[in-house]
Amino acid sequence: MAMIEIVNIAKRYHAVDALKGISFSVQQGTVFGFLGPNGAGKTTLIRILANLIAPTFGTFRIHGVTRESTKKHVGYLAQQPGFYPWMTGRELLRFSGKLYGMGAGDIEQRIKELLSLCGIEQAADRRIGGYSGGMLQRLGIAQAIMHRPKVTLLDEPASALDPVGRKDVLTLISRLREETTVFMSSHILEDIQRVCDEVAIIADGSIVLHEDMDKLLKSHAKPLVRLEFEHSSSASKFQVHMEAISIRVSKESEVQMVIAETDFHSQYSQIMGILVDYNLLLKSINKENATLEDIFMHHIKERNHA
Amino acid sequence: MHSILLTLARKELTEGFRSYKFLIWAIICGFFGILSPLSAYYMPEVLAIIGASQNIMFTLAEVTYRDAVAQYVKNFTQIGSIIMIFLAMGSVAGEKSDGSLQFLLVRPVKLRAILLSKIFALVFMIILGLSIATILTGIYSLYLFSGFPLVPFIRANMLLMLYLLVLGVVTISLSAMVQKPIVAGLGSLGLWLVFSALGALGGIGSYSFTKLGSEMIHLIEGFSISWKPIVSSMIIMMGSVGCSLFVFKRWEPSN
Repeated sequence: MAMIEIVNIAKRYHAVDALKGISFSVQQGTVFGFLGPNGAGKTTLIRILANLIAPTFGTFRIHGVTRESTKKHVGYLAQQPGFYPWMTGRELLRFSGKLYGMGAGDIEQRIKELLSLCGIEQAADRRIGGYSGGMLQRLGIAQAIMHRPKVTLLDEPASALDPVGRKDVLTLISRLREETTVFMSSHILEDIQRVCDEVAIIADGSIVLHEDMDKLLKSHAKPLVRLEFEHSSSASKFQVHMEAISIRVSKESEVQMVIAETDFHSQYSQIMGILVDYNLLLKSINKENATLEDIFMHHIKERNHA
Repeated sequence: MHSILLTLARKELTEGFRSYKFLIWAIICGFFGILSPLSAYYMPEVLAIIGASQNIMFTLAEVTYRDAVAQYVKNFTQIGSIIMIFLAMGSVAGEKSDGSLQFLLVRPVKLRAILLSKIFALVFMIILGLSIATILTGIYSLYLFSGFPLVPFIRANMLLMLYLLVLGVVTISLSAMVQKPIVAGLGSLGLWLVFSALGALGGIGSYSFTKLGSEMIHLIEGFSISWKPIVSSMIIMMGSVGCSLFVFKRWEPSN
């Protein structure tokens, strides 16, 4: 069952098209990763789904209903959450529950569950103004799912956290799939690969790819060969010679070049000849499988070329 | 809607207490409440001391409760007005700036409930402050002056409440229309000055809500009061809330 249906949504700010008529759907119980570089339109779409901004064109349905009626089915955590610093964490959750019309008994029971799930029992009666970034984000997730929403929208939930905080928040998000459909945006590929079942890549306001995470990694699982050179000059010369014999090279850093394993094998003697003839000193050579980052970079580069 | 409004109003009241907004207002009102009768009563003595040091002799009419009341009205309609604008200007714009308004807007909460809850807290704050000021001025004036009309003074405070309410509601409405509290504050200050200037004129000036101050003195003196500033106050408040809802509905977070 499609829990989120996005139908030809466009958003225009003055002369800028932040979203260019995008359509896709998200199935129930999925942790959906919405990936894209900064300024690609991720936050705009999440804010539209949260009813914070109106689309210029198109519509969306959440749990079969549209626009204002979706509010009771949606939980939302902003990229930079703004909570009332004078409230305690417990008071914020109670306030949230009351705004959704939950009963007093249900609210207290749910607060207990969420404080435990999000690991903030100790801080529950402290003022939010004194919370750390990680605690604030965990409280943010708790308030987003307080009313047991069908869909939880998380805008860059772990981007501003340190590695320990990120790990905690991602573990928490992966646990959420049991009770809600999660739609999370991020520009951190590793986070998406770690917790998401399905992924869409957005670039320049358009969806460039939408696929199941496992299928995506399998379909793009073309092994790669990573060559690390001693000097950047060697790497640059290697790139020039590869292009001369029509082998596509991806420059990962000043000293690292990546080529497809198939190209490496088919042109093996020629590549080796170039390395020896031009005295291009190698530090290491490794075979690797494609990661979400490789796929993302590939699609973004293709889009830029187009 | 009803229970959500109560929840929002309770939140506004708690915030008012915890952010010390109510306390600051109560202290200021208490100060005005004591200062007004005392400054009126001791003014001849203060002037005599100043005059003696400068070799000047001041001749003043006998000080009465009227001087205390005039001082009371002046304090609230001048300094009190500026403080009211200052306390109300961040009501909505402040929540837009710090992102906490989004917390409410993604929930099934009507914009008018948000505005009404803020106006409810404003009414509470004004009643709290004016009650303190009325009690203190009443006690001191009864003690210091003869013939102080306590009951008319309490009734006249209803007009002062309306005066401050208009200013507060206009400031809250502007706060819902703009992005930054300072813009709402300056806008409200500008409107207050325009209405004050208008009130100084005859004709249409009698409709200015700033005339409520002089109507307050008329009421204490037992004269009949003009309904014009009262009616215009209601219209100003309803108009500003209507305009703010119209603009507020179109607001989208930009950061």
